[in-house]
Amino acid sequence: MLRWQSQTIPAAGSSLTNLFDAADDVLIEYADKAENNAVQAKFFDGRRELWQKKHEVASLFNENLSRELFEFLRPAARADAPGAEVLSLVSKDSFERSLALQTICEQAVKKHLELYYALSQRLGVVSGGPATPYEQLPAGPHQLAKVFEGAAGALNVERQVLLALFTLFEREVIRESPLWHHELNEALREAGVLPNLRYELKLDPNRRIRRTDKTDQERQTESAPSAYSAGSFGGARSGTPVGGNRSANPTPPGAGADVRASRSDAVTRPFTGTAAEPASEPALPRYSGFGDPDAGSCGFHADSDAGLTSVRPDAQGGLASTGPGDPLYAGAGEGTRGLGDQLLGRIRELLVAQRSRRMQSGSAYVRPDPAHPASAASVAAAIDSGQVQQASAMPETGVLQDHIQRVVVPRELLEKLRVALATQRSKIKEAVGDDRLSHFDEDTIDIVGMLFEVMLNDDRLNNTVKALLSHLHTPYLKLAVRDRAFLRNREHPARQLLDNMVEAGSRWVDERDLTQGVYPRLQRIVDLVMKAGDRPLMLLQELNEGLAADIKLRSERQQVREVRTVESEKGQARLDEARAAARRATRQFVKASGSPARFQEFLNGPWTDYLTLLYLRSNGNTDTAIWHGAHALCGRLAQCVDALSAGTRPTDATLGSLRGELTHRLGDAIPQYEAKVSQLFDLFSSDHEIAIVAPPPLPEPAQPVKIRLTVGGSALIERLPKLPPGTWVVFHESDGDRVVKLSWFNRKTERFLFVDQAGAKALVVPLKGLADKIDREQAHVLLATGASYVESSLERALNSLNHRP
Amino acid sequence: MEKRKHERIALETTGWQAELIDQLSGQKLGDVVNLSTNGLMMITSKSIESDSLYQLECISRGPDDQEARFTAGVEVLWTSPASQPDTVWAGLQIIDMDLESRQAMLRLKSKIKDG
Repeated sequence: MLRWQSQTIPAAGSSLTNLFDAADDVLIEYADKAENNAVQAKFFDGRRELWQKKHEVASLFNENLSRELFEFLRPAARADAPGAEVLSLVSKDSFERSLALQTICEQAVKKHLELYYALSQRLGVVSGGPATPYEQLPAGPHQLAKVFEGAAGALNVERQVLLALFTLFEREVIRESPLWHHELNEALREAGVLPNLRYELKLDPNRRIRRTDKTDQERQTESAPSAYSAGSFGGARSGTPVGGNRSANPTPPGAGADVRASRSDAVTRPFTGTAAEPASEPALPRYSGFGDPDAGSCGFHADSDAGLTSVRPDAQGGLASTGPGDPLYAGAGEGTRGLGDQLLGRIRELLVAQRSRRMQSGSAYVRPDPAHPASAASVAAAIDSGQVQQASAMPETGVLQDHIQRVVVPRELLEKLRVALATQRSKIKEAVGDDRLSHFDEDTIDIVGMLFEVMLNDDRLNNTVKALLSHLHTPYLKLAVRDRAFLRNREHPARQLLDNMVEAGSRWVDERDLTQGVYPRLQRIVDLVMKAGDRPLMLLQELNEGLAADIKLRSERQQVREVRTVESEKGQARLDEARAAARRATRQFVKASGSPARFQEFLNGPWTDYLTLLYLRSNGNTDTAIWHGAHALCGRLAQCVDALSAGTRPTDATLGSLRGELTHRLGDAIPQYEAKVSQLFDLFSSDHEIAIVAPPPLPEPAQPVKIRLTVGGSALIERLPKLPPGTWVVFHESDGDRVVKLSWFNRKTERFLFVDQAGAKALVVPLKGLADKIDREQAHVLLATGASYVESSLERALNSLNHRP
Repeated sequence: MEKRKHERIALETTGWQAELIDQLSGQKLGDVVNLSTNGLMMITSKSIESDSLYQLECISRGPDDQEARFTAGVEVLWTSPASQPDTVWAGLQIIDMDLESRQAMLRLKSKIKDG
């Protein structure tokens, strides 16, 4: 480690020198491309400042890196990740700086995930603790960025210059660092620290999939939604995609093409207030069942990564619904039939037919389709018009801000939102005018309205998410009238984005602590979509890809942790069962009237552990020679103790034989317990004063809460154990909805284990308790069907139209 | 008992014992209670914490001085106090094992089966 340190610090310093050399040219280039003289002056000033202070910055950098390099060996001192202050929107500058660094670090780790995973595990072994968090990897991206951020504090430069330096830092220093880490990793591997560690999927040893066969980038490409041809919409704006910072020269900040900068700028504006991004987790998918139907040694049911729709499960799963109003699937929709284009066509037909019926019946005035309808741009302009916005102002819904974990959205507020959205659609129609609004555009507005109506009625989403997503009403209306493909094309990025936002909102948002899940990201997406220009397709695609990757990563992380959680629960359940059996077996040898304290200590301590061990080794089979032998031996010991208590000391031969066998048995199984046998036999020494004590009272068994189930609840008792692991369940609690995932049903204890969004143990609910909660609509089950949310919503809208007179 | 995915190796019933050595410190970490190809349970008087990582050597001794060794990187999944104070049960998950060790483990399993 020290040798590695002696090579790494100078290497990092040398890379920093390269940064200074490159900065000279890059800052001049940025100045040349600056949008105005003021910005140009900032780059010139920055260049001068850097020139004057580069030795100071380098010195600070080396000094701080040397000091913090092996910080991971001091686990008490947890370093803040760069960007950790992202929740603290002290200033726009600090926010942008944090976001830029956070992005740089996350991308660097993601690019070399296998390397950093292995290093984090190996350093964990070296430190004698858990895997080292990425933020603490010596000279890792996070540590380098943090150290540089500190050193760059010596520079009195403008935000744009600092962002340019960070981008250069990524290119010149962080990009070089995997070479150093590879050396450290190899050195540790050669030293015998986890020498065979691989970053792979191994949920099922019989179905091992080498994850190392592909680069992370390749996996990303495969997993990302298919690229949507921006060209098909014509004139999609060009821009630097997220993660596209590998160009020879960094994109000048402030030049309008830096997505990171523009995003960070957007999130600081009023709608979002604070966009809190959760810190990246150190956990890595060693075991991942993502997309693997046979996932897990503990019987995992892999999640579908597709959208959720609340249809009822099929008969194969034994969960066939009992009919409408089935409490198990409260909030469920009507099912999907994959109608696609036909679905939209049918909806339009129904809207036309409805209009025609009204015209024929004369029940209402139906205006004719205008001969010269307003263009899409005109309708979009009407949507954006101040007149419409003013007449249908959205009620304040609150935003996630610094030090705030919750955004409370009462039902009444949701109703106000619904009314506001409906009013907005009416006002748009009025603004365009009866003589200019085509029936087609009117229908489009109505269909988008239906989408949002369905969303607001969807029980799978909590009120906070509904309120947030309702802000997409305006941009999606504009998009739909401008771009007819939105409603027609399943691959449209706006549709996929909405699908993913709903999926993420239903699974990865904890209403009780919005900072922990995907909510901050959703808030940022909504904010960006609202501020997007007239051609948002590229942005939507980028946002969708980012969100899809986030969902995938969260699913993977959750499943890795979930495997551990379930294995832990199962292991401890087995141990509890064994301990209970051991206690029952020892208890019979202790007289109710009392026994010598030393004897009881032995039975309740080492002997109980020994029996527990036997029980575990025999998988709970107590009809074995060794168990019977142990039982007989304990009986002989009890007889000797009873005789002693009655005043008759057993013979030395009897005691010697007994002691020898106890020592042999205990010493062989648990060597450290050999000494306990000696302590026990002190009891039989002539100078030992025997103290007879009563056995400790048996612990009161926990009284199960009595639940009186209704007929519906009783019916669920049969069906709930068949719920497949991986099913998501929403518990409606007093402080908000709690979305958890079923991981394991313990058939012995009839308890369900649920994990949270991180895969950690969240709830253990008895079968009866769950049946009762579902029956009383205090919980409901979410089921994944793989259908698009937008499509299933359109289908629900179609059903609604079908039933409308 | 619930049917397990991996057959447990009943060391005690055939006279095999196994101890775990922390290869970094060279000290004994604990005694194997039972094991599968994916993980093992141990009992120990050492202070260990969940999530900790260890590079271990498992030394098994059987009848007629038979001995088997294998190495493994493990992660502590859970710990639970034993009945005897200052002693804990722990569930360990194997995260790293070379082919040779895996084969040694399987041979041990086979020997134990054969008695």
